[in-house]
Amino acid sequence: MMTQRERFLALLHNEPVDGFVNQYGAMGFLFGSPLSAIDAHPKGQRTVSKWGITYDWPEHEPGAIPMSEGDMALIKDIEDWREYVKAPDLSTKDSDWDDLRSAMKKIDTKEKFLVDFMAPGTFEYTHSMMSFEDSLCNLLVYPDEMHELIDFLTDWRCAYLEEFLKHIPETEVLFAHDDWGSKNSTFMAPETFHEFYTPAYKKFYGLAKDHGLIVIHHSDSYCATLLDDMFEMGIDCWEGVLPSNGIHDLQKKLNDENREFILWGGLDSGVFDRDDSTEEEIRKHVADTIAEYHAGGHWIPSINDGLPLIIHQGNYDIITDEINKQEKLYFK
Amino acid sequence: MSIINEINEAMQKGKAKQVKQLIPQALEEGIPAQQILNEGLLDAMSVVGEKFKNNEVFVPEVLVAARAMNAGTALLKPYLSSEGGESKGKACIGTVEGDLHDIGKNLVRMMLEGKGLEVIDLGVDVTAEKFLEAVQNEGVQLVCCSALLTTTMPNMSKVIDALKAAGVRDSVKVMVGGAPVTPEFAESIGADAYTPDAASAANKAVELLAG
Repeated sequence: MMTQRERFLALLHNEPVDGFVNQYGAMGFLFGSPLSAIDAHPKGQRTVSKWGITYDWPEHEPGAIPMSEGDMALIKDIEDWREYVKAPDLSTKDSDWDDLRSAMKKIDTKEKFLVDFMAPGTFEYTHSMMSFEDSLCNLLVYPDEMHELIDFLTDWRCAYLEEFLKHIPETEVLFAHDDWGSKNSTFMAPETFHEFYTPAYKKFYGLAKDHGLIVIHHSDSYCATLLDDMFEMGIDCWEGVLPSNGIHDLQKKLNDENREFILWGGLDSGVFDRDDSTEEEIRKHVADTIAEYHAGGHWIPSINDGLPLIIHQGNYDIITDEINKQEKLYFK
Repeated sequence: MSIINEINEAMQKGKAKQVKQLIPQALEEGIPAQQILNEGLLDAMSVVGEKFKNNEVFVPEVLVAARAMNAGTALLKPYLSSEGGESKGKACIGTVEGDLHDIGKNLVRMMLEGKGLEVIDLGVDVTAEKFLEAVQNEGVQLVCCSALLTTTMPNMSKVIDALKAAGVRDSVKVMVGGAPVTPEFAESIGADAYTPDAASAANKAVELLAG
Protein backbone atom coordinates (compact mmCIF):
# COMPACT_ATOMS: atom_id res chain seq x y z
CA MET A 1 0.00 0.00 0.00
CA MET A 2 1.33 3.43 -0.95
CA THR A 3 1.93 5.99 1.78
CA GLN A 4 0.26 9.37 1.71
CA ARG A 5 3.38 11.07 0.37
CA GLU A 6 3.83 8.40 -2.30
CA ARG A 7 0.25 8.94 -3.40
CA PHE A 8 0.78 12.71 -3.48
CA LEU A 9 3.85 12.33 -5.68
CA ALA A 10 2.13 9.84 -7.97
CA LEU A 11 -0.93 12.07 -8.25
CA LEU A 12 1.29 15.04 -9.09
CA HIS A 13 3.11 13.14 -11.81
CA ASN A 14 -0.03 11.59 -13.30
CA GLU A 15 0.91 8.09 -12.19
CA PRO A 16 -1.46 5.44 -10.75
CA VAL A 17 -2.40 5.63 -7.07
CA ASP A 18 -3.91 2.97 -4.82
CA GLY A 19 -6.00 5.34 -2.71
CA PHE A 20 -6.76 8.94 -1.86
CA VAL A 21 -4.40 11.50 -0.51
CA ASN A 22 -6.61 12.16 2.50
CA GLN A 23 -6.81 15.91 3.25
CA TYR A 24 -3.60 16.96 5.05
CA GLY A 25 -2.42 13.35 5.45
CA ALA A 26 0.81 13.94 3.51
CA MET A 27 1.79 17.18 5.26
CA GLY A 28 4.30 17.19 8.10
CA PHE A 29 4.36 20.86 9.01
CA LEU A 30 7.55 22.30 10.45
CA PHE A 31 5.93 24.75 12.84
CA GLY A 32 7.73 26.76 15.46
CA SER A 33 10.77 28.05 13.61
CA PRO A 34 12.44 31.14 15.06
CA LEU A 35 11.18 33.04 12.00
CA SER A 36 7.55 32.23 12.67
CA ALA A 37 7.52 34.75 15.55
CA ILE A 38 7.65 37.56 12.99
CA ASP A 39 4.02 37.14 12.02
CA ALA A 40 2.69 35.17 14.98
CA HIS A 41 -0.84 36.13 15.96
CA PRO A 42 -2.34 33.68 18.43
CA LYS A 43 -6.04 32.91 18.56
CA GLY A 44 -8.14 34.96 20.92
CA GLN A 45 -5.67 37.84 21.09
CA ARG A 46 -4.86 41.21 19.56
CA THR A 47 -1.17 41.29 18.66
CA VAL A 48 1.27 43.47 16.73
CA SER A 49 3.58 41.67 14.32
CA LYS A 50 7.25 42.55 13.88
CA TRP A 51 6.22 44.45 10.76
CA GLY A 52 4.07 46.64 13.01
CA ILE A 53 0.80 45.23 11.68
CA THR A 54 -1.99 44.80 14.25
CA TYR A 55 -3.97 41.57 14.07
CA ASP A 56 -7.15 40.54 15.83
CA TRP A 57 -8.12 36.88 16.15
CA PRO A 58 -11.46 36.53 17.96
CA GLU A 59 -12.17 33.03 19.28
CA HIS A 60 -14.96 32.28 16.81
CA GLU A 61 -13.09 33.44 13.68
CA PRO A 62 -11.27 30.88 11.51
CA GLY A 63 -8.20 33.13 11.23
CA ALA A 64 -6.56 36.37 12.30
CA ILE A 65 -7.74 39.59 10.70
CA PRO A 66 -5.37 42.51 10.06
CA MET A 67 -6.55 45.79 11.51
CA SER A 68 -5.51 48.06 8.68
CA GLU A 69 -8.31 50.59 8.36
CA GLY A 70 -7.87 54.32 9.05
CA ASP A 71 -5.37 55.15 11.78
CA MET A 72 -4.51 51.48 12.23
CA ALA A 73 -2.92 51.29 8.77
CA LEU A 74 0.84 50.78 8.82
CA ILE A 75 1.31 52.64 5.53
CA LYS A 76 -0.23 56.07 5.91
CA ASP A 77 0.70 57.24 2.43
CA ILE A 78 1.64 54.86 -0.37
CA GLU A 79 3.91 57.47 -1.98
CA ASP A 80 6.07 57.33 1.18
CA TRP A 81 5.71 53.59 1.87
CA ARG A 82 9.44 53.21 2.59
CA GLU A 83 9.05 55.47 5.62
CA TYR A 84 6.55 53.09 7.15
CA VAL A 85 7.61 49.61 6.06
CA LYS A 86 10.69 48.31 7.84
CA ALA A 87 11.49 44.67 7.11
CA PRO A 88 11.96 42.50 10.20
CA ASP A 89 15.42 41.09 10.77
CA LEU A 90 15.79 37.56 9.46
CA SER A 91 19.11 36.64 11.00
CA THR A 92 19.04 33.75 13.46
CA LYS A 93 21.54 31.65 15.35
CA ASP A 94 21.77 28.03 14.32
CA SER A 95 21.01 26.94 17.88
CA ASP A 96 17.65 28.77 17.63
CA TRP A 97 16.57 25.99 15.29
CA ASP A 98 17.31 23.08 17.63
CA ASP A 99 13.73 22.76 18.88
CA LEU A 100 12.40 22.58 15.35
CA ARG A 101 15.03 19.99 14.42
CA SER A 102 13.91 17.87 17.36
CA ALA A 103 10.27 18.22 16.35
CA MET A 104 11.18 17.34 12.77
CA LYS A 105 12.63 14.02 13.87
CA LYS A 106 9.20 13.00 15.16
CA ILE A 107 7.58 13.42 11.75
CA ASP A 108 7.08 10.12 9.94
CA THR A 109 8.78 10.97 6.66
CA LYS A 110 7.64 7.74 5.03
CA GLU A 111 4.10 9.06 5.33
CA LYS A 112 4.56 12.82 5.27
CA PHE A 113 6.62 15.52 3.59
CA LEU A 114 8.60 18.01 5.64
CA VAL A 115 6.73 21.22 5.00
CA ASP A 116 7.69 24.86 5.47
CA PHE A 117 4.51 26.86 6.07
CA MET A 118 4.55 30.53 5.08
CA ALA A 119 1.84 33.10 5.65
CA PRO A 120 0.75 35.79 4.99
CA GLY A 121 1.27 35.99 1.25
CA THR A 122 2.52 38.96 -0.73
CA PHE A 123 -0.94 40.30 -1.60
CA GLU A 124 -2.07 39.68 1.98
CA TYR A 125 0.88 41.69 3.27
CA THR A 126 -0.14 44.64 1.12
CA HIS A 127 -3.71 44.66 2.40
CA SER A 128 -2.50 44.16 5.97
CA MET A 129 -0.28 47.22 5.70
CA MET A 130 -2.96 49.50 4.29
CA SER A 131 -6.72 49.22 4.01
CA PHE A 132 -7.99 46.50 1.72
CA GLU A 133 -9.50 49.16 -0.50
CA ASP A 134 -6.24 51.09 -0.74
CA SER A 135 -4.30 47.92 -1.57
CA LEU A 136 -6.54 47.49 -4.62
CA CYS A 137 -7.06 51.13 -5.64
CA ASN A 138 -3.34 51.81 -5.44
CA LEU A 139 -2.67 49.17 -8.09
CA LEU A 140 -4.48 51.46 -10.52
CA VAL A 141 -3.66 54.87 -9.09
CA TYR A 142 -0.08 54.35 -7.83
CA PRO A 143 1.21 51.44 -9.91
CA ASP A 144 4.89 52.37 -9.59
CA GLU A 145 4.77 52.48 -5.80
CA MET A 146 2.84 49.21 -5.66
CA HIS A 147 5.37 47.53 -7.95
CA GLU A 148 8.15 48.74 -5.64
CA LEU A 149 6.35 47.53 -2.51
CA ILE A 150 5.58 44.12 -4.03
CA ASP A 151 9.20 43.74 -5.16
CA PHE A 152 10.38 44.67 -1.65
CA LEU A 153 8.07 42.13 -0.02
CA THR A 154 9.07 39.46 -2.53
CA ASP A 155 12.77 39.96 -1.87
CA TRP A 156 12.14 39.73 1.87
CA ARG A 157 10.09 36.56 1.47
CA CYS A 158 12.86 35.05 -0.67
CA ALA A 159 15.37 35.90 2.05
CA TYR A 160 13.04 34.31 4.63
CA LEU A 161 12.86 31.10 2.62
CA GLU A 162 16.64 31.06 2.14
CA GLU A 163 17.16 31.45 5.90
CA PHE A 164 14.71 28.63 6.63
CA LEU A 165 16.34 26.30 4.14
CA LYS A 166 19.82 27.17 5.38
CA HIS A 167 18.88 25.75 8.77
CA ILE A 168 16.39 23.06 7.70
CA PRO A 169 17.75 21.82 4.36
CA GLU A 170 15.64 18.65 4.73
CA THR A 171 12.53 20.71 3.82
CA GLU A 172 10.65 19.17 0.89
CA VAL A 173 7.54 21.29 0.43
CA LEU A 174 6.73 24.99 0.57
CA PHE A 175 3.12 25.50 1.62
CA ALA A 176 2.33 29.20 1.25
CA HIS A 177 -0.84 31.21 1.71
CA ASP A 178 -2.17 34.12 -0.32
CA ASP A 179 -5.90 34.55 -0.90
CA TRP A 180 -6.46 36.12 -4.27
CA GLY A 181 -10.22 36.31 -4.46
CA SER A 182 -13.65 36.03 -2.95
CA LYS A 183 -15.91 33.03 -3.36
CA ASN A 184 -16.99 33.96 -6.87
CA SER A 185 -14.36 36.31 -8.26
CA THR A 186 -10.72 37.30 -8.12
CA PHE A 187 -10.05 40.50 -6.21
CA MET A 188 -8.58 42.10 -9.30
CA ALA A 189 -8.72 41.63 -13.05
CA PRO A 190 -6.55 38.73 -14.23
CA GLU A 191 -4.56 41.25 -16.30
CA THR A 192 -3.86 43.35 -13.20
CA PHE A 193 -2.88 40.25 -11.26
CA HIS A 194 -0.63 39.15 -14.13
CA GLU A 195 1.12 42.51 -14.18
CA PHE A 196 1.70 42.87 -10.44
CA TYR A 197 1.72 39.48 -8.77
CA THR A 198 2.69 36.85 -11.33
CA PRO A 199 6.28 38.13 -11.76
CA ALA A 200 6.66 38.42 -7.98
CA TYR A 201 5.51 34.86 -7.42
CA LYS A 202 7.53 33.57 -10.34
CA LYS A 203 10.60 34.82 -8.49
CA PHE A 204 9.53 33.53 -5.07
CA TYR A 205 8.33 30.11 -6.17
CA GLY A 206 11.18 29.95 -8.68
CA LEU A 207 13.56 30.11 -5.71
CA ALA A 208 11.65 27.27 -4.02
CA LYS A 209 11.90 25.20 -7.19
CA ASP A 210 15.62 25.93 -7.43
CA HIS A 211 15.89 24.28 -4.00
CA GLY A 212 13.91 21.28 -5.24
CA LEU A 213 10.77 22.03 -3.23
CA ILE A 214 7.25 21.07 -4.18
CA VAL A 215 5.18 24.27 -4.18
CA ILE A 216 1.69 24.21 -2.70
CA HIS A 217 -0.27 27.44 -2.81
CA HIS A 218 -3.31 28.06 -0.62
CA SER A 219 -6.08 30.32 -1.87
CA ASP A 220 -9.57 29.28 -0.82
CA SER A 221 -11.24 31.57 -3.26
CA TYR A 222 -12.21 31.82 -6.90
CA CYS A 223 -8.97 31.65 -8.88
CA ALA A 224 -10.00 29.64 -11.94
CA THR A 225 -9.02 32.53 -14.21
CA LEU A 226 -5.54 32.56 -12.65
CA LEU A 227 -4.72 28.92 -13.37
CA ASP A 228 -2.36 29.74 -16.24
CA ASP A 229 -0.61 32.22 -13.96
CA MET A 230 -0.23 29.48 -11.36
CA PHE A 231 1.48 27.27 -13.95
CA GLU A 232 3.75 30.17 -14.88
CA MET A 233 4.66 30.80 -11.23
CA GLY A 234 5.70 27.18 -10.73
CA ILE A 235 2.90 26.09 -8.43
CA ASP A 236 2.51 22.29 -8.25
CA CYS A 237 -0.65 22.15 -6.18
CA TRP A 238 -3.45 24.61 -5.52
CA GLU A 239 -4.95 24.01 -2.09
CA GLY A 240 -8.33 25.54 -1.27
CA VAL A 241 -10.13 24.86 -4.53
CA LEU A 242 -13.69 25.90 -3.81
CA PRO A 243 -16.45 24.25 -5.87
CA SER A 244 -17.30 27.71 -7.25
CA ASN A 245 -14.17 27.43 -9.40
CA GLY A 246 -15.83 24.84 -11.60
CA ILE A 247 -13.61 21.91 -10.63
CA HIS A 248 -14.72 19.78 -13.59
CA ASP A 249 -13.54 22.46 -16.01
CA LEU A 250 -10.21 22.76 -14.20
CA GLN A 251 -9.72 18.98 -14.32
CA LYS A 252 -10.54 18.97 -18.02
CA LYS A 253 -7.97 21.68 -18.67
CA LEU A 254 -5.29 19.79 -16.72
CA ASN A 255 -6.08 16.60 -18.60
CA ASP A 256 -6.24 18.28 -22.01
CA GLU A 257 -2.90 19.98 -21.43
CA ASN A 258 -1.39 16.94 -19.71
CA ARG A 259 -0.36 19.09 -16.74
CA GLU A 260 1.37 17.83 -13.63
CA PHE A 261 -0.75 19.77 -11.16
CA ILE A 262 -2.97 18.94 -8.19
CA LEU A 263 -6.29 20.51 -7.18
CA TRP A 264 -6.82 20.14 -3.44
CA GLY A 265 -10.15 20.84 -1.78
CA GLY A 266 -13.69 20.66 -3.09
CA LEU A 267 -15.68 20.21 0.12
CA ASP A 268 -18.12 22.97 1.03
CA SER A 269 -17.65 24.50 4.49
CA GLY A 270 -21.27 25.64 4.37
CA VAL A 271 -22.14 21.98 4.84
CA PHE A 272 -19.51 20.65 7.25
CA ASP A 273 -18.56 23.66 9.36
CA ARG A 274 -21.88 24.86 10.70
CA ASP A 275 -23.04 24.77 14.32
CA ASP A 276 -25.91 22.48 13.37
CA SER A 277 -24.15 20.17 10.87
CA THR A 278 -24.95 16.53 11.52
CA GLU A 279 -22.48 13.68 11.12
CA GLU A 280 -24.77 12.00 8.63
CA GLU A 281 -24.98 15.18 6.56
CA ILE A 282 -21.19 15.62 6.56
CA ARG A 283 -20.55 12.00 5.56
CA LYS A 284 -23.06 12.27 2.73
CA HIS A 285 -21.42 15.49 1.55
CA VAL A 286 -18.01 13.81 1.48
CA ALA A 287 -19.41 10.84 -0.45
CA ASP A 288 -21.22 13.10 -2.92
CA THR A 289 -18.14 15.29 -3.45
CA ILE A 290 -15.92 12.28 -4.14
CA ALA A 291 -18.51 10.90 -6.56
CA GLU A 292 -18.47 14.28 -8.26
CA TYR A 293 -14.74 14.91 -8.69
CA HIS A 294 -12.78 11.68 -8.31
CA ALA A 295 -13.13 10.58 -11.92
CA GLY A 296 -11.67 13.85 -13.25
CA GLY A 297 -8.35 13.14 -11.53
CA HIS A 298 -5.65 15.54 -10.29
CA TRP A 299 -7.65 15.89 -7.08
CA ILE A 300 -7.26 15.60 -3.30
CA PRO A 301 -10.56 15.39 -1.39
CA SER A 302 -10.37 17.85 1.48
CA ILE A 303 -11.63 20.84 3.35
CA ASN A 304 -10.50 24.10 1.70
CA ASP A 305 -9.05 25.69 4.82
CA GLY A 306 -5.37 26.55 4.73
CA LEU A 307 -4.45 24.20 7.58
CA PRO A 308 -6.08 21.09 9.04
CA LEU A 309 -8.05 23.40 11.30
CA ILE A 310 -11.74 24.24 11.03
CA ILE A 311 -14.17 25.96 13.35
CA HIS A 312 -15.81 22.67 14.42
CA GLN A 313 -12.65 20.58 14.63
CA GLY A 314 -14.41 17.30 15.35
CA ASN A 315 -15.91 17.46 11.89
CA TYR A 316 -12.42 17.31 10.32
CA ASP A 317 -11.97 13.84 11.76
CA ILE A 318 -15.37 12.75 10.49
CA ILE A 319 -14.35 13.87 7.00
CA THR A 320 -11.03 12.03 7.22
CA ASP A 321 -12.81 8.88 8.33
CA GLU A 322 -15.40 9.10 5.57
CA ILE A 323 -12.70 9.60 2.91
CA ASN A 324 -11.07 6.40 4.18
CA LYS A 325 -14.41 4.60 3.90
CA GLN A 326 -15.05 5.91 0.41
CA GLU A 327 -11.54 4.87 -0.61
CA LYS A 328 -12.58 1.22 -0.29
CA LEU A 329 -15.28 1.82 -2.89
CA TYR A 330 -13.10 3.57 -5.42
CA PHE A 331 -9.82 1.66 -5.08
CA LYS A 332 -10.37 -2.09 -5.06
CA MET B 1 -18.60 65.38 -26.46
CA SER B 2 -20.83 67.17 -23.93
CA ILE B 3 -19.37 67.97 -20.56
CA ILE B 4 -21.86 65.57 -18.91
CA ASN B 5 -20.52 62.78 -21.11
CA GLU B 6 -16.98 63.77 -20.22
CA ILE B 7 -17.83 63.56 -16.51
CA ASN B 8 -19.52 60.21 -17.09
CA GLU B 9 -16.48 58.85 -18.93
CA ALA B 10 -14.00 60.15 -16.33
CA MET B 11 -16.17 58.62 -13.60
CA GLN B 12 -16.18 55.21 -15.24
CA LYS B 13 -12.39 55.33 -15.41
CA GLY B 14 -12.18 56.41 -11.77
CA LYS B 15 -10.42 59.68 -12.62
CA ALA B 16 -11.32 61.66 -9.53
CA LYS B 17 -9.13 64.67 -10.38
CA GLN B 18 -10.75 65.02 -13.79
CA VAL B 19 -14.23 64.70 -12.30
CA LYS B 20 -13.38 67.44 -9.80
CA GLN B 21 -12.18 69.71 -12.63
CA LEU B 22 -15.18 69.08 -14.88
CA ILE B 23 -17.98 69.53 -12.35
CA PRO B 24 -17.37 73.25 -11.69
CA GLN B 25 -17.22 73.80 -15.46
CA ALA B 26 -20.55 72.02 -15.88
CA LEU B 27 -22.10 74.12 -13.13
CA GLU B 28 -20.76 77.27 -14.79
CA GLU B 29 -22.42 76.19 -18.03
CA GLY B 30 -25.68 76.29 -16.09
CA ILE B 31 -26.29 72.54 -15.95
CA PRO B 32 -28.36 71.74 -12.85
CA ALA B 33 -26.49 69.87 -10.13
CA GLN B 34 -29.16 67.17 -10.06
CA GLN B 35 -28.60 66.50 -13.77
CA ILE B 36 -24.83 66.30 -13.27
CA LEU B 37 -25.38 63.88 -10.41
CA ASN B 38 -27.84 61.68 -12.27
CA GLU B 39 -26.33 61.64 -15.76
CA GLY B 40 -22.68 62.26 -14.95
CA LEU B 41 -22.09 60.35 -11.74
CA LEU B 42 -24.90 57.89 -10.96
CA ASP B 43 -25.37 56.67 -14.53
CA ALA B 44 -21.62 56.09 -14.76
CA MET B 45 -21.64 54.18 -11.48
CA SER B 46 -24.48 52.02 -12.78
CA VAL B 47 -22.40 51.17 -15.84
CA VAL B 48 -19.46 50.25 -13.60
CA GLY B 49 -21.81 48.17 -11.43
CA GLU B 50 -23.13 46.24 -14.42
CA LYS B 51 -19.61 45.65 -15.73
CA PHE B 52 -18.62 44.39 -12.28
CA LYS B 53 -21.56 42.02 -12.26
CA ASN B 54 -20.47 40.69 -15.66
CA ASN B 55 -16.81 40.36 -14.60
CA GLU B 56 -15.76 43.00 -17.14
CA VAL B 57 -14.24 45.08 -14.36
CA PHE B 58 -13.14 44.07 -10.88
CA VAL B 59 -13.07 45.45 -7.34
CA PRO B 60 -10.23 47.97 -7.92
CA GLU B 61 -12.07 49.60 -10.83
CA VAL B 62 -15.26 49.80 -8.74
CA LEU B 63 -13.36 51.33 -5.85
CA VAL B 64 -11.67 54.05 -7.88
CA ALA B 65 -14.98 54.87 -9.58
CA ALA B 66 -16.69 55.07 -6.18
CA ARG B 67 -13.97 57.39 -4.92
CA ALA B 68 -14.38 59.60 -7.99
CA MET B 69 -18.12 59.64 -7.37
CA ASN B 70 -17.65 60.64 -3.74
CA ALA B 71 -15.34 63.47 -4.80
CA GLY B 72 -17.91 64.64 -7.33
CA THR B 73 -20.84 64.32 -4.94
CA ALA B 74 -19.03 66.41 -2.34
CA LEU B 75 -18.72 69.24 -4.88
CA LEU B 76 -22.37 68.98 -5.85
CA LYS B 77 -23.82 68.71 -2.35
CA PRO B 78 -24.27 72.46 -1.63
CA TYR B 79 -26.02 72.92 -4.98
CA LEU B 80 -28.21 69.84 -4.55
CA SER B 81 -29.67 71.02 -1.26
CA SER B 82 -30.49 74.44 -2.73
CA GLU B 83 -32.14 72.75 -5.73
CA GLY B 84 -34.18 70.62 -3.33
CA GLY B 85 -33.22 67.29 -4.91
CA GLU B 86 -35.03 64.29 -3.51
CA SER B 87 -33.24 61.47 -1.75
CA LYS B 88 -33.80 58.08 -3.35
CA GLY B 89 -34.00 56.40 0.02
CA LYS B 90 -32.01 55.71 3.15
CA ALA B 91 -30.30 52.46 4.04
CA CYS B 92 -28.08 51.18 6.80
CA ILE B 93 -25.53 48.45 6.29
CA GLY B 94 -23.33 46.41 8.58
CA THR B 95 -21.57 43.10 9.11
CA VAL B 96 -23.47 41.24 11.79
CA GLU B 97 -22.36 40.63 15.36
CA GLY B 98 -19.27 38.47 15.79
CA ASP B 99 -18.07 38.99 12.22
CA LEU B 100 -15.23 41.36 11.34
CA HIS B 101 -15.24 40.95 7.56
CA ASP B 102 -16.02 44.11 5.68
CA ILE B 103 -14.96 43.79 2.05
CA GLY B 104 -18.31 42.62 0.71
CA LYS B 105 -20.17 45.01 2.96
CA ASN B 106 -18.10 47.96 1.70
CA LEU B 107 -18.68 47.02 -1.92
CA VAL B 108 -22.43 46.87 -1.40
CA ARG B 109 -22.31 50.25 0.36
CA MET B 110 -20.54 51.80 -2.62
CA MET B 111 -22.98 50.28 -5.06
CA LEU B 112 -25.95 51.53 -3.03
CA GLU B 113 -24.43 55.02 -2.96
CA GLY B 114 -23.91 54.66 -6.67
CA LYS B 115 -27.67 54.32 -7.02
CA GLY B 116 -28.15 57.60 -5.16
CA LEU B 117 -29.18 56.07 -1.84
CA GLU B 118 -28.08 57.62 1.42
CA VAL B 119 -26.23 54.91 3.32
CA ILE B 120 -25.32 54.74 7.00
CA ASP B 121 -22.38 52.38 7.40
CA LEU B 122 -22.64 50.74 10.82
CA GLY B 123 -19.30 48.95 10.36
CA VAL B 124 -18.47 45.41 11.44
CA ASP B 125 -19.50 43.30 14.46
CA VAL B 126 -22.83 45.16 14.55
CA THR B 127 -25.37 44.00 17.12
CA ALA B 128 -29.06 43.62 16.35
CA GLU B 129 -29.69 46.54 18.71
CA LYS B 130 -27.48 48.83 16.62
CA PHE B 131 -29.37 47.94 13.45
CA LEU B 132 -32.61 48.63 15.31
CA GLU B 133 -31.34 51.99 16.55
CA ALA B 134 -30.56 53.03 12.98
CA VAL B 135 -34.10 52.18 11.96
CA GLN B 136 -35.70 53.94 14.92
CA ASN B 137 -33.48 57.01 15.08
CA GLU B 138 -32.24 57.61 11.54
CA GLY B 139 -35.30 57.01 9.43
CA VAL B 140 -33.73 54.06 7.66
CA GLN B 141 -35.99 52.29 5.15
CA LEU B 142 -33.66 49.47 4.18
CA VAL B 143 -31.48 47.29 6.42
CA CYS B 144 -28.59 45.41 4.79
CA CYS B 145 -26.86 42.66 6.76
CA SER B 146 -23.63 40.99 5.72
CA ALA B 147 -21.88 37.86 7.08
CA LEU B 148 -18.92 35.84 5.87
CA LEU B 149 -18.98 33.03 8.37
CA THR B 150 -21.35 30.11 8.79
CA THR B 151 -21.11 30.75 12.52
CA THR B 152 -22.20 34.40 12.34
CA MET B 153 -24.82 33.99 9.61
CA PRO B 154 -27.51 33.05 12.19
CA ASN B 155 -27.05 36.51 13.77
CA MET B 156 -28.87 37.91 10.75
CA SER B 157 -32.07 36.42 12.08
CA LYS B 158 -31.45 38.20 15.40
CA VAL B 159 -31.62 41.51 13.52
CA ILE B 160 -34.98 40.56 12.05
CA ASP B 161 -36.19 39.37 15.45
CA ALA B 162 -35.18 42.69 17.01
CA LEU B 163 -37.05 44.63 14.32
CA LYS B 164 -40.12 42.45 14.90
CA ALA B 165 -39.93 42.80 18.67
CA ALA B 166 -39.76 46.60 18.35
CA GLY B 167 -42.76 46.59 16.02
CA VAL B 168 -40.88 48.15 13.09
CA ARG B 169 -40.36 45.12 10.86
CA ASP B 170 -43.15 46.13 8.49
CA SER B 171 -41.76 49.62 8.00
CA VAL B 172 -38.38 48.47 6.64
CA LYS B 173 -37.02 46.08 4.06
CA VAL B 174 -34.23 43.68 5.01
CA MET B 175 -31.58 42.40 2.62
CA VAL B 176 -28.93 39.80 3.45
CA GLY B 177 -25.77 38.69 1.70
CA GLY B 178 -22.29 37.20 2.09
CA ALA B 179 -20.41 34.13 0.92
CA PRO B 180 -22.23 31.46 2.97
CA VAL B 181 -25.69 33.03 2.62
CA THR B 182 -28.17 31.38 0.27
CA PRO B 183 -31.63 32.37 -1.01
CA GLU B 184 -33.05 29.51 1.07
CA PHE B 185 -31.41 30.82 4.21
CA ALA B 186 -32.69 34.35 3.50
CA GLU B 187 -36.20 33.01 3.11
CA SER B 188 -35.95 30.89 6.24
CA ILE B 189 -35.15 33.90 8.44
CA GLY B 190 -37.77 36.10 6.81
CA ALA B 191 -35.51 38.51 4.93
CA ASP B 192 -37.03 40.41 2.02
CA ALA B 193 -34.18 39.69 -0.36
CA TYR B 194 -30.87 37.95 -0.93
CA THR B 195 -28.51 38.87 -3.74
CA PRO B 196 -25.30 37.09 -4.71
CA ASP B 197 -23.21 40.17 -5.53
CA ALA B 198 -22.89 43.88 -4.82
CA ALA B 199 -24.27 45.14 -8.13
CA SER B 200 -27.38 42.96 -7.85
CA ALA B 201 -27.79 44.15 -4.27
CA ALA B 202 -27.93 47.76 -5.44
CA ASN B 203 -30.51 46.97 -8.13
CA LYS B 204 -32.59 45.01 -5.65
CA ALA B 205 -32.39 47.81 -3.08
CA VAL B 206 -33.78 50.32 -5.57
CA GLU B 207 -36.53 47.87 -6.51
CA LEU B 208 -37.49 47.24 -2.87
CA LEU B 209 -37.55 50.94 -2.01
CA ALA B 210 -39.62 51.77 -5.09
CA GLY B 211 -42.11 49.03 -4.25
